[in-house]
Amino acid sequence: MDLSKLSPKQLLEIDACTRCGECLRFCPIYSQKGEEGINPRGKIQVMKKFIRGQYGLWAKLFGPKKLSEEDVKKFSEMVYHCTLCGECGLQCPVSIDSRSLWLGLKEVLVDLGHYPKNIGLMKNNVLSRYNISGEDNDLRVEWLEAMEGLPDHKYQKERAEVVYFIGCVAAYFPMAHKIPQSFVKILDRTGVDFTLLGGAEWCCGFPLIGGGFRKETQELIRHNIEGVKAKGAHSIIFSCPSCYHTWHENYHTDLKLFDSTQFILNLIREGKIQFEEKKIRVTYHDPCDLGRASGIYEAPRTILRSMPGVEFIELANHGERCKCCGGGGLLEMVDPELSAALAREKIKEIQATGAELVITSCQQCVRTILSTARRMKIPLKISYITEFVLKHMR
Amino acid sequence: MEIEGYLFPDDLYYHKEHFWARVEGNTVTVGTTDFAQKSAGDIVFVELPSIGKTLEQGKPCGSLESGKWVGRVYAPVSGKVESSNEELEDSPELINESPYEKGWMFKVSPSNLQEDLKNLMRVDALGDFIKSEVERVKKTKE
Repeated sequence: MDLSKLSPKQLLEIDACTRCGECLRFCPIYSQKGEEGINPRGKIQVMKKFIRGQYGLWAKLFGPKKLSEEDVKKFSEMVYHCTLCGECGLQCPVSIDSRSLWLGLKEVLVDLGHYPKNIGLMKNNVLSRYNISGEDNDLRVEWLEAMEGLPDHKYQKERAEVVYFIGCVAAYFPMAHKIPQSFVKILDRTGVDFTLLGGAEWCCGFPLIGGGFRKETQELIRHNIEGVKAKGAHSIIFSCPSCYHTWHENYHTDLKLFDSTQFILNLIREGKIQFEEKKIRVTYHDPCDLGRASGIYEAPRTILRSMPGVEFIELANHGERCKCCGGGGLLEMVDPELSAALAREKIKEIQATGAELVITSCQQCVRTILSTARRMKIPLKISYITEFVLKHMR
Repeated sequence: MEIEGYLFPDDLYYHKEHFWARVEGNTVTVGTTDFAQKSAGDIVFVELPSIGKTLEQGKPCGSLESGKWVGRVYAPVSGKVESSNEELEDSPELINESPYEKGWMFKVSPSNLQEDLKNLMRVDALGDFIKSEVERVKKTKE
């Protein structure tokens, strides 16, 4: 077992886990499965056992223990049954940065060849077609074809101050097409000098990092930075919080990065967006990659509170405590039933607010919550924040 | 008529991408087949062409989504979109529940109907095609 994928800090964190079990209270997977292995504490304990067997006193005296295929397989199931929601790390009394640790463990497992088949298929799509769906990458802006009154440049200009980075899910999954469709309309109406990258936009690399293939992301990162710089842009805006977070953490660039909510809030403050009064009661779901991973909680709330007629009600678990919808961490590829079970819990929490509409800032949350509600035949209404803003704009 | 356990009404024309066309006067109603909806599973989203859009036979004009599966909607005939089934926006499951009636997708004012119909299949010619499609879908699921 090659531990070079883990930093010295992460090795210390594994050792520092006191098995207090505080993480169990917050882990959405544990709340569904109730298994000791498939939870943060269980994963760390198994890893600790592996490390001792390979590098501990016993290993020094008698040589490293041979890793059993069965044990590694079971460990892989534990590690990949995770939404990467990061709530365990936030609640950990000894401050283990668990989200980063789970990604490191996936890298160790990829090295051992133990990862789910679907994750491998997704990796091949990203590396060969530069998107998660395996479609032709030039179809990344196919959603534009459903729009009317497009300018001649179809928002793909030679140069612009700002690049709007769409992300694979909004580009290829029809349920999320309204997100870029509404966002480009807002940008157009407020006079922002922006462009799309079209087929030159490649996957940001998040699915590879989330699957344990971090080292495979270098070409994607280089290509995307060059693509943005070739447009002469100084800023990038994202409607996908996973893309936003991945750029922030892994791209090491001097370009200014904005999530859609931050950018819209700036437009409101500059007086470029004004709203009509429309009475509606809404709630807001914090996406894991925007909230806990990126620390953006206030921008979407400030937008909603600035809209006349909008009555905003918080979910019972909100902000740092917001529960994952089930769509995070590639769980849907590994265990769709478990992902749907988490979404069902989220839907119950939304219904309990009495809100007419739930708003969020993540395309994957929209897809997970809406598709589960439709399978349950619940008439729940969900809107990405750009759709909601556009509908209310004067 | 039932073929391989899937229902195909006798009065419709069928496109090889599994969309049907019902001709009523100068209007063609379009939807997807029982075979397609069962193969796709629970349809959770449908994106339809907007009213007034010009369609070309055999070209994509919308999309369907069911969980992790995404498929395109193909126009079985050329023409201009007259109307679309607005109920599908909030209730896409109507395609699963009633693919030939309540789950209709859009209506077209055809521009080249007689020629287009020659490229579509009637139910009596569907047998071998559906059998081969059943096999193809089975293989992709393996």
